[in-house]
Amino acid sequence: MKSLLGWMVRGFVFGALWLGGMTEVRAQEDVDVTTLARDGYILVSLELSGAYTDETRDAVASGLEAAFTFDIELRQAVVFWPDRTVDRALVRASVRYDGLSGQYRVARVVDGEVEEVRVVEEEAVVRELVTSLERLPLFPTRVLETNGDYHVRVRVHARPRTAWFRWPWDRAAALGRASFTFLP
Amino acid sequence: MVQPVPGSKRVPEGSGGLARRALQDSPRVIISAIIVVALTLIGLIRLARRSTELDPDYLSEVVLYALSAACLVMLLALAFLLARHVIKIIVEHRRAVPFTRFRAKLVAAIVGMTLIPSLLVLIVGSEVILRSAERWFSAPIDDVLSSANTIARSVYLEQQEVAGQQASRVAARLLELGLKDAGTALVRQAAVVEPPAGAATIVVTVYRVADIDGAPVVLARVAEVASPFLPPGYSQASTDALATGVAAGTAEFGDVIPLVDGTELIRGVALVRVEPEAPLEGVVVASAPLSGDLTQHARRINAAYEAYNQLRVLTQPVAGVYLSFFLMATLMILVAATWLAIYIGKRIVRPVLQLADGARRIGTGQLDHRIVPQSSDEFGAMVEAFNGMAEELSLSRERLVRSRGDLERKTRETERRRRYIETILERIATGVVSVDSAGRLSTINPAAARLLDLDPTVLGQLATEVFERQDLAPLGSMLRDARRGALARTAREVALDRDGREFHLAVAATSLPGQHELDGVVMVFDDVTPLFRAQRVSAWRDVARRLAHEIKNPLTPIQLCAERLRRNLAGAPPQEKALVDECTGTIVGEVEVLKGLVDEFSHFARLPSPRTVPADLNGLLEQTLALYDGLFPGIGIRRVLSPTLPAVRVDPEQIQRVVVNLVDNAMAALGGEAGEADRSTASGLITIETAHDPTNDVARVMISDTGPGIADADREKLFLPYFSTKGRGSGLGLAIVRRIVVEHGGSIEVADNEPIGTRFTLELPCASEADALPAGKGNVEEESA
Repeated sequence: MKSLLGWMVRGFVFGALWLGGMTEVRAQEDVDVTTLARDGYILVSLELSGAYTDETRDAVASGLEAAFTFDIELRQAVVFWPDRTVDRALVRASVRYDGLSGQYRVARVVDGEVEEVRVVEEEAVVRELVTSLERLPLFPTRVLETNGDYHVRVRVHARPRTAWFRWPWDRAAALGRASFTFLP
Repeated sequence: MVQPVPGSKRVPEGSGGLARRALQDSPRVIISAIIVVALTLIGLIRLARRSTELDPDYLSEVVLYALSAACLVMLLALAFLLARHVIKIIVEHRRAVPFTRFRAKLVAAIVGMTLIPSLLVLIVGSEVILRSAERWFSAPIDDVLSSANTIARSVYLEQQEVAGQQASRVAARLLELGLKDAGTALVRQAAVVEPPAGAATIVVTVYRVADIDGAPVVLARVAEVASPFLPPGYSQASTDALATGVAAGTAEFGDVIPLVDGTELIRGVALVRVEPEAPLEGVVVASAPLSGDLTQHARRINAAYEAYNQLRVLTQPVAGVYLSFFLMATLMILVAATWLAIYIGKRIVRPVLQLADGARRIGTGQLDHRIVPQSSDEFGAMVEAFNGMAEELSLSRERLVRSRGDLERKTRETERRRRYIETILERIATGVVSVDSAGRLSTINPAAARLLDLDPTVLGQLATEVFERQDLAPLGSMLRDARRGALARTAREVALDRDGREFHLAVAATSLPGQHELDGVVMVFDDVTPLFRAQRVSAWRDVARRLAHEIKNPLTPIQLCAERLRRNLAGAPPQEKALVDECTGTIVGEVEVLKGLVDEFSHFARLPSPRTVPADLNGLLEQTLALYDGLFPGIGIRRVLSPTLPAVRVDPEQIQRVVVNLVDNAMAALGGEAGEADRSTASGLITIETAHDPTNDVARVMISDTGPGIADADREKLFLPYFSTKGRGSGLGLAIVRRIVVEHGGSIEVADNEPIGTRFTLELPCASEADALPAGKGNVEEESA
């Protein structure tokens, strides 16, 4: 009986370590995040490297809609407590390929509003459009404190997912972070 | 059907975690859970059947997510069930709960029997699914679909190329014409270009740059040449947006616009400029239609091709969906089997544990504990029998408690009666001795011990040994007769001689018959010595009265005759006369003596009854002793009178006579052999003491002397009439003293005085409080000589 209990404990510990390791590996994928305060907004630029994989290309070529959802949070550090979320924006960049016309239809939606729709024929342009955001004015600076330390945390979710199994909790495909001190 | 035991009470079940719980053990809940599991399985099967109709993207995103979550929930439920069961088994094993190992083995066996085939099915099914997924794609289908899609796409490309060429040709004409300054008519004319053979251009739209410096570039539509067969739904705004986008560099040089009737409009764009770096002069958009039939066929081909490719891309998640079906079904079976194993284990063990717990509670005295029957099987019958046994035990205990109460009450009553009898035996003057069936003394009350001069420690000794003593020999004889059963009850008067004194006891011996043999003998003693003495005194009084009567009557004639003889023979010769005088003188003298003696007897016989009054005994003694003051110088009279002596109810005259008699006797004793004749020369000390005995409520008078004392043999006879140690006198003095004292309700005893002499002790009852006199004057000790 004791040995059975011991094996159960070992199994739980091993499973926890495995899940933790998986999360750690996924978190190593990088999103370059840069911020700039201008014209009353925090402009956020993102560069998601290595996300437009061959699997993504195949999925797009098959006519599936491929999308990268950027969950961007403006957070303020709090001592001995989880960071406080000051503001949040959700940017979704999607692409769908028309196999007859050979054109890619790229759309970008910010917080539920369609910001841009483009039809392009170059895959490189498509990759650029869906994995990069350039100076998006996402957060107004009026809510920020002067000389306050903030950081922008970006979690990227990609689809379609081609894994055998889906975890109930949605894990980010990539993570990024940029800290700054707000000076108006 | 097991019926509840009448009078049974619902009580909390014992420890062990096996108490019946309404929710978990409810048949409705169990059936509902089984129905839910069955419905879930049916739903899974139906979903699996319909999975081929669902979009692969929907399958991979929604269905796979739901199934994955469900599998994790089932896995957690299985882990929870197993962990909870294992922990409970460990805890119960440490608490030494019975059947722990049995339950653990039962659950392990059932789970194991379910787990192994389930895992085998899961592995085989997974392998089949994976192999089937590989068969979804094959080279021929790839070729067919790819070729068909290439053909369809070539139609679009060809039409797009035609539109582009048309736009370029118009742009070249406009450049030659000079779009910047050309009129609308010329521009319209230049826009009319004959399409290639087999191709058709429906709309050509020409734009001129209106503001070259603006950002974005502002275009102005100059002319639009449209075919009369323009399909419905054509939008100029869409064309304007395309031209503006191309001019701004944000749009491709062509696109495809679907129209409402299924026709698609393929547009080509050309810029009007001299060189690539030259300023833009205008934009030309040429739109060529594709018929609805052609478009639909091409789209269907493309859709099939895309679906095929999408399935290839989503092979893993789609296969994961089917694997999840298997996994979930397996987990559901395992969870159900585990729960069922635990449940069965509990159901099997619970009645036994309940019986064990119930037996333990019954053992600790909780006889009202009952077990609620939970089934109608053999266990239910056992529970019913157990409850019946507990009920019987409870009733028996109630009866026992009642009996014990009755017994205690009877014991208390018996004890009370025993104490009552003991008190009586201790207080009564009658002696009681009991002998048990073994012949040992079992009871001797204080009166018996006193009368027989026995120590209470003789209890338990053989009666024959105790009564072997010489003075108790008559009692031993009576006891033997009673034990032999010769007489059920014998009564006899027995005289015991102890230390020269004679005791008279009225003895009654009663045998106690048992069922088969004698239970014992009870002997009752009454001290009849005072009665015997009174009878003897009475007899003496009667003798004295008769003697006085019979003797006194002839004395007077004898005396008269003697005197007559002396008178008549006065003249006789001197010799005869002397003889007569001597004889008659002797006769008369002796007659006088006899008369005195007869008077004494007569007085003894006719002693009047005392006329008692409350009197101060100390004062009475003082008055009496005052008579002796100065009479006998050699004899000292010491008075030790108690100041707290209460009043006594006596006849003062008779008590004075008693005191005088006793003091006279003491003085006579101090006179030695000479006796009363030499009282004037006697010497010694007479002490008169008084004391109060509050216990017996008597006043005690002690008169002692320092004379030679009285022999033991004479003491008993001392108070008998006509007994005297002085050699003269009537011997009635102490008899009269005893009679007076007895008639006052008192007693008199004689004993040796320490260190020498004789001591008489009188006890007279004290007067009642109503008769009490004022207290005495204090302790008085006085000596006179």
